[in-house]
Amino acid sequence: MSSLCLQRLQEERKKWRKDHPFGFYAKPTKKADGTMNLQKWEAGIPGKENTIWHEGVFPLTIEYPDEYPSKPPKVKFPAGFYHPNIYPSGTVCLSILNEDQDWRPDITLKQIVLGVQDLLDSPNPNSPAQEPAWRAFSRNKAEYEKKVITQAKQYTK
Amino acid sequence: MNIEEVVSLIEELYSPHPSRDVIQIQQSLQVVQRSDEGIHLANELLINPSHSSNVKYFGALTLTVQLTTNVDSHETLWKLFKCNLLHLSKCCNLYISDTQAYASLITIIKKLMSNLSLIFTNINESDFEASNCNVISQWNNPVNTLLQLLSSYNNVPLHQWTTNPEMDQILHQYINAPITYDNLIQSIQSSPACNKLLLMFTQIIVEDLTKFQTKKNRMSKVYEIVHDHLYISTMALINANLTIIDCSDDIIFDSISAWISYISMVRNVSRHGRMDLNEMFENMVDLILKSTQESDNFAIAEKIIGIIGTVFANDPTLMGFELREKIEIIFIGVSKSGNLDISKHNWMLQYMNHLVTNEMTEELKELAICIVDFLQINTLDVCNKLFTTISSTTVNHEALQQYVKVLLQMTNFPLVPVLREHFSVRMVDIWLDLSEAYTNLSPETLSEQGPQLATEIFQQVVQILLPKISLINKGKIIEGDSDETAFHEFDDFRSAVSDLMESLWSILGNDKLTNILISGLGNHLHAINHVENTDNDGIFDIEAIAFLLNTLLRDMTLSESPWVCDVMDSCEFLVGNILMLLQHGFESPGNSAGSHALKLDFVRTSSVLLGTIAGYFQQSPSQLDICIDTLFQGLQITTLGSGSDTELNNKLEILTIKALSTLCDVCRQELSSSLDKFLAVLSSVMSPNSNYSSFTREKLVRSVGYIIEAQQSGPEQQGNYILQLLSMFENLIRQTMMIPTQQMQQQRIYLHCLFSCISELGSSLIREEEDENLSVIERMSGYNEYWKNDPLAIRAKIMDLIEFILNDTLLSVDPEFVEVACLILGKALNLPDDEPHFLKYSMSEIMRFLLKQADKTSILISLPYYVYLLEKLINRFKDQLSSHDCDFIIEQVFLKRYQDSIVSDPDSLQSTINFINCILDCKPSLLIHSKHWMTFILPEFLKLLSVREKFTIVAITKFWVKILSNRRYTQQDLATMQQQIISLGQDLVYQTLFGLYHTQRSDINNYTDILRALVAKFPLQIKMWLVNALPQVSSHHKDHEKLINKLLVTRGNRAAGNAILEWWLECNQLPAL
Repeated sequence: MSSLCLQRLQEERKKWRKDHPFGFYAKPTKKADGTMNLQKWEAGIPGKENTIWHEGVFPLTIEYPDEYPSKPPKVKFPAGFYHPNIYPSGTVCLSILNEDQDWRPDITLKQIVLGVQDLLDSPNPNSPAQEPAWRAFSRNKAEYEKKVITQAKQYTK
Repeated sequence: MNIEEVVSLIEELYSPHPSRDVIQIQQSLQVVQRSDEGIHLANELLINPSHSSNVKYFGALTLTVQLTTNVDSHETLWKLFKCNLLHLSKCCNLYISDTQAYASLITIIKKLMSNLSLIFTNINESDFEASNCNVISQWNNPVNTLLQLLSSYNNVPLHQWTTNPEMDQILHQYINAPITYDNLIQSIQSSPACNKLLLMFTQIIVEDLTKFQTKKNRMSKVYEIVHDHLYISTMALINANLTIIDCSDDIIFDSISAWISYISMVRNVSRHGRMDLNEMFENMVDLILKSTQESDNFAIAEKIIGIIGTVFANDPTLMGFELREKIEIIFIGVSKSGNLDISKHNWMLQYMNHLVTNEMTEELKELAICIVDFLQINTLDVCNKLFTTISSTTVNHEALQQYVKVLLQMTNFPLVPVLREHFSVRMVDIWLDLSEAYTNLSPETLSEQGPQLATEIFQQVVQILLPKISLINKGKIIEGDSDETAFHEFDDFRSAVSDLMESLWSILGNDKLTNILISGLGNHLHAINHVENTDNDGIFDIEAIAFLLNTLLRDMTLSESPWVCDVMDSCEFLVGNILMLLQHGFESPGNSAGSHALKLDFVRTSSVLLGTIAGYFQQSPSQLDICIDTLFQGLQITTLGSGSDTELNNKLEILTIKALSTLCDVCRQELSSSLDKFLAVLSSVMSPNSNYSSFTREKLVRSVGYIIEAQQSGPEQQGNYILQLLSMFENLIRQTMMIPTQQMQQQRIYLHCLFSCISELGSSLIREEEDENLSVIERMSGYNEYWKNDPLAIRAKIMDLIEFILNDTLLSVDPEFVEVACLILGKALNLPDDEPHFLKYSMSEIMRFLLKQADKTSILISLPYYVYLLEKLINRFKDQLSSHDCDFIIEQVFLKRYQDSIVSDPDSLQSTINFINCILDCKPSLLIHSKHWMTFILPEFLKLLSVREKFTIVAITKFWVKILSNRRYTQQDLATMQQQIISLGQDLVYQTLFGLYHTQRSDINNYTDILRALVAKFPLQIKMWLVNALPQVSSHHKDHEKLINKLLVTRGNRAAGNAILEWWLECNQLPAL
């Protein structure tokens, strides 16, 4: 890991501990030897209140490449996560996480998780990443909502 | 428009009840402001003493407009410079003469100062010709200029204070004239108003410079001038205010804050940004100590702590080491290096006492943040001094002990966290930093007493924090603060402490942390049956321990940790106390939002912990039954509430069923004797009269299924249990479907749940792959034989039930029911041959179902589910299938409906292509030798290359890539395919290029993959195909040639992607890469 990457990740961690939105969590994982792995984080995104997502806190992994912050982190839900803009592998399709689109090195972890939380209830139908959720969202809202609510129960708060 | 008209419009604009349209007034005034007459107008508005403040302010604003729109020459800038300076001098003089009477001038003064701040940047960053003596090419120090003009105001006749040659001369003379330190001090001492204005001016300038930094990349010359001139006089001004003058006015602190922000920013972007602030900080610290209850009720201390708190939070190294040590002594009473001064720390204690006594929670929070930010600057140093032999200076151990003692005392601040104090909350960060620093130390650097000291300190931290995270405090927060923020903040505090435990575990280990918490939870009895009489504090203490244990035990495989299980075994009341928490949660009254939250917390902590220690019950199952009983009781309670309780009960229900499900999954064998009890509960849960959610019902069926899976008395018993469940589902389904549909939606949900329960039962009986239990493997052949024969005809019964449900006119077209039917039939298709399962349907059974259903239901709704089933079927039976079978499926399911339905529906089209792709993935021969291959699939799929829908593009391009390059081809397949592609190649290349040309950028890669495969596999033919096809797609001939050359050079490697993207950009006239 480059010193710039390390320095920035330490800064991100400090900032997060000091100020993060309620109901969210994010922390570096531990390596096998018990030391901290700053390049791989575990996070939890609570569904927004008064939405079909509100019952869950959805687990996320955030992997920072060596080139971070020049390159964005890879943000993933568990594989098979049901959402029109989440790839079957769980990778989140969001413009601020795309190097060729809106990623900027000054985007913080807080902005990322808030962006992902927004995405949960405001899918972008023009950027489909998986077929089942996208199809249900576009064609059968009732089925879509039922599956989202069941998924939220799996990840209940 | 004349001046009177303008004045009248301005008065109208600012009037609370304008008689005309405000937007129209604004537009008219903006025209005048921007015109060549703007400066003249501004002068007129500002000069006339009879004009109101609004009018004068509008005059200053007009100068801003002129500055931002009309500065096209040095002459104009100079003109504006003079106007602003003259008007500022006049206004300031009036203000100084009588601050009360001219108080309204302050807004105008600020606007003029802001204009001059802009001029200061403009002049100093512009490259004016120095040869012209009238040109001011550099403006060193606006503060000095203002002071010069203020001092000279009485020396120059009043009538001359206007734009005229004499005044020009004076201004030239004063603009860069120096002011001595003595003059400056004398001026501010003699006039507090003058002092205030100078501080305001310097503040506005640096605030603007900080703001402009984001807009302008380079302002190095301005930074240099600020460093050489403005900084010096400002520091003199600020330090005099901090030491000589009574500085109770906020302006001094605002000015200090602005300078700190400026220097913090500029020192990162310019070599002229390094400006020392230590004298100022030192004076501020001295002033803190002078600020007492008696002197000013700690008002100044409060302000200064706010400022230095910001420094510690954002840029702590702005403050020098020695000064930080001085602050350390005030905050802690002792420095890490061993210096001690109780008198200074006493001031701190008095200040804290003042804040606590007066319930100044916000101020106390600010102090806590300030101190903890300060302590975080160098935790590594504290760590080294405490635990290692690294420290270069001699360590005063007594002082260090005192240091740690104060840190522990702060953590144990004797008030309710979050509600009344934030020290304990913020100190969690310090302990986390310290524990991480300790964990990262290399063992050889540890001092002899280091590990013992670390254990003592961190164990104390745990003991201090346990009561702090108690829900008793959450209860107080809910009672004491209607704002939800504090409530959430407390939850965050608990999470932070839980994270800290993870970190402390690597220092304290199970011996000194986990086991102690387990003992704390299980060594004392809290009567389960006497919740009402139980000492409440005890319940809350237990909850806090259980909460932390969850974190520590979560990542442990308890079934493989005999030592921890032994400790748990030795704690007689461990399980009992967890269940007591659970009961307390269920039974405590939930008559307010606060009690709802606490109920939920109690149930969450205890139910999650029961799931977490499921591995322990594998070792010691004696108390498993009582856990299950308590969870069942809880589940029953959750259905009793109504109205406002519904949401809470839903949450409690989810938590309970999840704990039950985890216990059943992990302890399926240990629970096998309780199966009848489970079946009885399941029967009542499944009843249409009960109030449980589909989620709970389905989870419970799955849980029961886990226990059935673990039954050891042979397949007949398993078969009987499955039949028992199935009969229950069937009866309920048939009864429900016979009821006239009054509550259609509810009935539909219930039916869907019952139907899904069959699928859940199927899932629960699939063994996990890693389960290599020998006895199970030995038993497998018997089970396999049993399910092959299926003596109870369970499969047939299920198939009948499926058909019965899908015969219903409404349900047969309901995609959710079709989906469940396909899930049930496909459940066991992934299992290997020797793996028994009651849902192992044969190919013919599944095909019969599909063909029957396909005729009955709308293909557009059902096709994705049929394709799911067909794909599994192909994968499972590929070796038994022939091309003839494949033809049959294609004909019966797809071809029959292709023209009428599928081709016009992108989803169905995509499903069809995906099915074909699936065959290509597992056995391409089935397709390549199919009779529909050349007559339907290839020609039709060639056309589909020009579709526009994203998922269809992905599917169709995958198809062609799989055709061109497929590892599963036999030699015969390969030869056939090559021949076919050679004859189709020209069309394929044209269609691919056509699709590519018209696609959106994000889909280009799909087409690129086909072209790469063609270049790699057909290098001799591709050039000609491209030469022929490209001009038909686009008229950019030059780009075509480039593309062909590049593609051929790449031979289909990754670089081809760039060549294709470049071509696409050029042809679509988009900017190149």
